[in-house]
Amino acid sequence: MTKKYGMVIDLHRCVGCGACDLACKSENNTPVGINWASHTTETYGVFPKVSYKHTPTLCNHCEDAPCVRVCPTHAMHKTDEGFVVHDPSICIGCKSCMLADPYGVIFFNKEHAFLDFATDTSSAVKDGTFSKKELSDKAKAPFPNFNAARGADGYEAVRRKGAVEKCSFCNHRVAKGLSPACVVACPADARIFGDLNDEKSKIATTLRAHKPTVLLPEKGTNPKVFYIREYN
Amino acid sequence: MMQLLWDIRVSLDLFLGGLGVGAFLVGVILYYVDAKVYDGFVKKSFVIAPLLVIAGLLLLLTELGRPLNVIKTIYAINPTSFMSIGIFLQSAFVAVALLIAFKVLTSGVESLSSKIVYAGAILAGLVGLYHGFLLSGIAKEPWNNAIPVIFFVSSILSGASLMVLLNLGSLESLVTRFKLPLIINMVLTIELAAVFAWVYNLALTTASSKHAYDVLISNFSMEFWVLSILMGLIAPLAIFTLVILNKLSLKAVAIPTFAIIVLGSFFLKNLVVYLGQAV
Ligand code: SF4
Ligand code: SF4
Repeated sequence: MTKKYGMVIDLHRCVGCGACDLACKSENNTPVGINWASHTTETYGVFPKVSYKHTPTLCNHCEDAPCVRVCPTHAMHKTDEGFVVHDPSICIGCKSCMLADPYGVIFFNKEHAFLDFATDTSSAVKDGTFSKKELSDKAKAPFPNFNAARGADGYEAVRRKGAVEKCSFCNHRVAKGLSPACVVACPADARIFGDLNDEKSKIATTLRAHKPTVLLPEKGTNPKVFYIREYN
Repeated sequence: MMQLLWDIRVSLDLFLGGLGVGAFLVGVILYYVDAKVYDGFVKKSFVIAPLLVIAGLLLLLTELGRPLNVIKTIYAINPTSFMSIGIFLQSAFVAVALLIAFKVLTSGVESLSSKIVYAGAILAGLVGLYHGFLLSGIAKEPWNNAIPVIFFVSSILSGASLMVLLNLGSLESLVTRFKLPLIINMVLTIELAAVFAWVYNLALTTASSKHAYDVLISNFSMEFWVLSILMGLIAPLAIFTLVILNKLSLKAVAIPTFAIIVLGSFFLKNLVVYLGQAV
């Protein structure tokens, strides 16, 4: 049976530290304002009975993804393994996917990201420190890269002005047998990633043992990111 | 705050494209009714239609982040994407309409084959419907299934009004032959009914549609009630009713009345584009 990847986030284990958000930023080199992994916080109730909720968010890699349905070029597409991924080389930047995505997890690159790393030759200490451009040249990172290692494996790794982008479930890592960066970084082991079609996998057994919920079930998108338990 | 992903350029594309489609279809009707009598009218319709659609498309291209990639939509077709289908339909319409315009300008209306006019009419109809489906396919609350009908009828109304404004010399003959105010009032009534269905659906169905209705009423009431409904639909309906009752002369009111229909079409489409992004 083909693999179908998904993720479980255990809200009882999650401590709201934001390590996942940062690990994603580091893995995918996302610019300011673009957060593939993020979170929402809610405070509710009346003092002294006040509750707080921290919910990590990311692309849900929906089974019935509206972003894929509306994309005029198949730039936003679904792989056989259930990843909803984006190919900036054929994206026309129409933003239909952003309008159709009910979760607000797709971002638009209005400007060239990290342009300073291609143009800025000034250094803080003359002949003492690297300029941004030297740093980028020495790292042999394609400009404007989001992940040089991902690019080396043949995946699209250039952040293009005018195209959109979003979480890829780190499919470049998964192909090598690794887990997504956010899963590895979580200090509370609150994230479980794996093959939903493998009945013996940790994700499948966890889902069977709990009553999972998804975000905005009424939208009929059939998300592949599930939430179990609660912090409170 | 509203995250505006599609700005006025998208509204202008839908408006100008709608004007072009409406103008073309009115030209087609008169071509089939009597191409000789309405030669000048038909000629203007067929020349102006592709120009309006092209103007809209050019504006839309400036809205895209990577406009040069549009060429790739030709081989990377997504059948579930109305935008993908629409790019195809609009290109086909523009090609046929430009061919018709070229023939009309070089050899006159009589040189046209009725088959190519027929093909142009079908494509114009499909493009007119596509404008609304582009939004309803994205399925935001206010972009529901009433939108394709609202947009299509609005396009016919505005395109026809524009062409009457550009052919005021034929006004009398149009009134005598077609009872123009009566026909326009029928179409205005259909448009009002479609808009009513849309508002009714928003106001009284689900919790999220009620939220969309609240935003419409609280943030867009001027654009909706005053500019789109009162100015664009009810005022012309009332004026044409007075004309039918012989209380007003059509000649005296033609220019402002047809002009407010055209303007109302823009305000209505612009409002719908913005409202979908505000909820
Ligand atoms: S969460 Fe949004 S971006 Fe991700 S697959 Fe679903 S609709 Fe697409
Ligand atoms: S912005 Fe790009 S990925 Fe999104 S719908 Fe348009 S072409 Fe597809």
